[in-house]
Amino acid sequence: MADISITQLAGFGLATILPAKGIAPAAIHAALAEAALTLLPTGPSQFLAYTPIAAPDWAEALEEKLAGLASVVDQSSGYSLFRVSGSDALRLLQKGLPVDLSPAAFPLGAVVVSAIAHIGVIAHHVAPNTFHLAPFRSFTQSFHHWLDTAAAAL
Amino acid sequence: MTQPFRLGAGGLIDRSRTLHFTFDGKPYTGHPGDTLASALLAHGTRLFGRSFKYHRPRGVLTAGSEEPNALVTLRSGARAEPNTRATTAELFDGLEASSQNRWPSLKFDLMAVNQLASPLFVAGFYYKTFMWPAKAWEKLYEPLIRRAAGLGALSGLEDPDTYEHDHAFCDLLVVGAGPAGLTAALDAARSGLSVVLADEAPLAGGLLLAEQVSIGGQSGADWAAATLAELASYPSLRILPRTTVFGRFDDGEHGAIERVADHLPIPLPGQPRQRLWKIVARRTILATGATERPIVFDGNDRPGVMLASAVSTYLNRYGVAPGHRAVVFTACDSGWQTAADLLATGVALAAVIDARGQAPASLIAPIRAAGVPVLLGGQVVAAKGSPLRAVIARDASGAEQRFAADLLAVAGGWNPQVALAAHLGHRPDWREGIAAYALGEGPGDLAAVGAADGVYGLAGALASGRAAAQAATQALGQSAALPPLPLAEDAPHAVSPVWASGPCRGKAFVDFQHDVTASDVTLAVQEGFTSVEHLKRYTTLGMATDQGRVGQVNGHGLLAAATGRTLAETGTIRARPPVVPVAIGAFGGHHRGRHFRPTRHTASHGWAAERGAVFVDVGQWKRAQWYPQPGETHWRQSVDREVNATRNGVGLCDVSTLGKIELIGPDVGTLLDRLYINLFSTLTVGKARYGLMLREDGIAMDDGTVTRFAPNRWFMTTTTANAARVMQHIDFARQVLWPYLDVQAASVTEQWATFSIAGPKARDLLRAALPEVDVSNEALPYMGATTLHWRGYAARLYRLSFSGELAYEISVPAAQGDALVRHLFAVGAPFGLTPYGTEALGVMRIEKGHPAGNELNGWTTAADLGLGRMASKKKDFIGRVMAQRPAMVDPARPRLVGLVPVDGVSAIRAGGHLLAPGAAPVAASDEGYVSSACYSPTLGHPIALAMLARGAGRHGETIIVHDPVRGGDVLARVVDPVFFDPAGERLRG
Repeated sequence: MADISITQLAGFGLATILPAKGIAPAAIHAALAEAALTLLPTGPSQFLAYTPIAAPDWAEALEEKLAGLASVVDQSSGYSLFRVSGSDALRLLQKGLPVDLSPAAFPLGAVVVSAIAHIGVIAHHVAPNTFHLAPFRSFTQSFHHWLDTAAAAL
Repeated sequence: MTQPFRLGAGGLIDRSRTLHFTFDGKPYTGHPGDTLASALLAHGTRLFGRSFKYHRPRGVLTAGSEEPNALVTLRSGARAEPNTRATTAELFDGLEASSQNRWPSLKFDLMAVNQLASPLFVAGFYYKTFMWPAKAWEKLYEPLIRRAAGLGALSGLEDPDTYEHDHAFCDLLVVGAGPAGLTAALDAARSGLSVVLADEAPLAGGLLLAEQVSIGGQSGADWAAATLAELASYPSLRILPRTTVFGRFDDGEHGAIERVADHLPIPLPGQPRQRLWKIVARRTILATGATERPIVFDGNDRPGVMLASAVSTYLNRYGVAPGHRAVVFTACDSGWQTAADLLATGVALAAVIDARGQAPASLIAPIRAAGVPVLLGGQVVAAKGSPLRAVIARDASGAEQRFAADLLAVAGGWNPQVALAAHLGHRPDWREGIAAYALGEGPGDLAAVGAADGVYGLAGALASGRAAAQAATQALGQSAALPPLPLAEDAPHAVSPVWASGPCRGKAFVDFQHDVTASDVTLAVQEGFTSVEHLKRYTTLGMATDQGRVGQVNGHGLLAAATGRTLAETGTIRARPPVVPVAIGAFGGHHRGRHFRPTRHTASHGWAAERGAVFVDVGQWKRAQWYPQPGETHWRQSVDREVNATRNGVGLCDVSTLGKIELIGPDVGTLLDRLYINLFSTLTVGKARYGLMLREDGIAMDDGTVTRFAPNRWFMTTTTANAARVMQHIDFARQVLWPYLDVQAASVTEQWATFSIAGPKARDLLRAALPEVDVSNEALPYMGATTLHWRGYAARLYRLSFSGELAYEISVPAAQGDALVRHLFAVGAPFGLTPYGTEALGVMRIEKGHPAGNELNGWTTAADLGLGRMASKKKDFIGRVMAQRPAMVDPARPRLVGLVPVDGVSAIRAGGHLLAPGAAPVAASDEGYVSSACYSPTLGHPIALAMLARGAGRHGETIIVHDPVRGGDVLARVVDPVFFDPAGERLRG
């Protein structure tokens, strides 16, 4: 029996942070040092802020906090979020992700923007043997099908 | 069930267990460890199939994946798998196999008459036969050939098994787990590299399992098993048994197919049948071994003629004697080892014929000592009987001798298997010392070792595996102290190739699977096809599923002889992937049926499904097409009702699939001015504007609206189809064309659920649904927009209309979309709120003459669409210059017009072509085409949008809509494309 657990998360907050021209990422990190969120790098000078529990106006509050530094675009509804954990989680991810997930290439905290089964997905190594997978919301059913099929074959 | 050809002892089979299987319905037995071929040979089965072209009876030639003859259909019903090689199919209890390409039966095949017509089926047969008359192709030749030629047939049923994809990343990929591969993998793992070891066979060891050798004081099989166990102790090493690496691509990427459950009756629950691997390796070691060559002589395809290495494999690995009385015909030292194996296992040896004048005394002595005739400098002239009954040979003096035999073991030399190295363009070079094509100057990140590099001795193979592993290790900056290699001996391996033996007047086969004979090669040369690549295509040599692994080099030898060139000059073909056939299902993986491609669902999908919506595929999206109600028997009834309800009351449509892009920064207005043909920098906060953008070449690319919510905050919509493309276009513009502009952009297509609420009662509905928002015409006029909060969530309300009615679009975060649509319908009942689908949406936009995807089709300019006057003359924009080219501004270009049937009832079909009345229905008369058409329930008659030459000035004319595909011409009147409410009073109300 494969050691794997898959949970679809709800109530989380996700927001794209777009630093204004000339603002270095360090300034964003500094401004958010006290905030209860994780900054996932998703592109050059681009972040996705993540918080496990978000109020409806979370992104608006975040934008106020970053006034003058960056714009914030709420994406809490843009993705569905799956938590995949267990000693077989990495095997499952590697079936889908065409990127190297070895410890050196994908250490704790690493983020990769890629695709699984032709579905755009952001993968985040959140804890030992624990990963978050965020496909675009509209693909949730198709992505779930891949997860179930691939997990059954472990 | 006796197995008369099974040896009493030896082999890697478990005689204590018996497996039952059937071949062509007849029951047989075998043992765990058998292949289908070895089990059938144990019963004395000789005939396995019929050949492709001549339907010649064929037996087993090899013991590996290169088998050209013994192709069978495995299993039955939906799991039937044609063209399975009996030589690699692992036996399981209950296996069903059937022969192919025979009718009515394997023993008596009517199509074998093809042999009598063989002068017709010569090289270039297709090109010569089908010159004339062209019509005969479809009616005569093709059906004839399809019946006569070919291999197994598909079941036509859906495959009940699953296939999956996987990825691996490693420092080193070792292909092949023979002695050299095992050594290389072990050394690399000891040195700290991450290693993938892929082996085609279920058991590691390669030819060690088929030979009587000693390695480190152990038998080959024991050493391989022990080494594999040691390898398994390294966590950084992954062993993939039953896995063939079939292709090598750029940047160290390899394709491999793992036969996960092919050796089981059916896969375990959840288990895929096969797994397609993408393996990315920094270095690659090919330990793929070598394939033995047959020798070309008359009747060399008769059942009972077998490669010597295959004979040794059946004897030593499977404990099966492939015959009672054998002749060995060899051109190299390894054939003598097979002779010794035959003697050791008690098979009668009628003769050993070595085409060479001499052979090592150490090899000859034990054979002579057993009283077996030895013909040095002899040759086989013909094999007789089907199955084999006798071998006709000539000795060195030319005297003919006849040996009664039911087995002829042929050893023509060895071809290193370096096809993978050639996939990126490195053709193997002729290496005289081993008389074979081998890796010359190969790709820098790949090395061949052992037999794959022509190193046939065991000690040499181990050493070459170690050397390549060390080179890879050093290149990757690692090292380790290694224990000495196990002791092994190098057996003699000299070869002097024979490309044709005897007269080769009859059927002397070069390519067994495609029935290419020596005379086909000769003929091709006579006709001028002297390049190896031309020879291949003209004769089909090497184009069968075995990819020429068996016969190709013999063909090159014959070509060299016929053209008076050396083999080095002749060269060999460039191998291409895949090395072995790979089922298309493996490439498809789980993408089949409903999951052929991913589907996208809008936030209201579940709600719409509850309402009984009929869904339509729009790209990957599922969109509600219409919502049938009880009693409606035709889709038109539903659509007409939805249109009428919207135009007379209020309707709701999910428009979330439109692309949505958030644009932020002080320079957004400047960027938009350059993207769209019209001005945007002048747009005030709280307002939306329609815009059209062009491609660089001046053709219309996409349309949509932009809303300005704050001085630096803008929001763009795109068409559903172009959402990703417009995002790319914007990123290209702001990152490459004008990086100095301060503009940030993010796609929010997935974030927002958007519903269009349209109809004269739309405002009343919104007042009830959003009591805290002022939706009066003063507060929210046409093309106005505002932000609000709905249940605490940021929401946006726009006064936009695609239908031509008083209309709004409301957006909430997609997670709230389902709740919003239910709220709107709960509140909307008193207003008669009606859901409408994409079909009604399309009808209403045609009634309003709005261009959509059918008109934004990659051919039309802004002027063609009647939008030319939108273009600003005060600024530059993408596509402006190219849109001014003479052909783009030609007044004769087709322009958007409306069409109505003159008789008021005839349907106009989209795709119909426009002809002047009386004009001949030929391309030269073509004046345009119908792009969109529908029945207008609002007007009570069919309408259509069309692109008509000089259309803008032709309103009032009549024109023929000609439909050559579906038939039926319709006389139509050209009218303004805006059919309904041309003044736009309704949408401003």
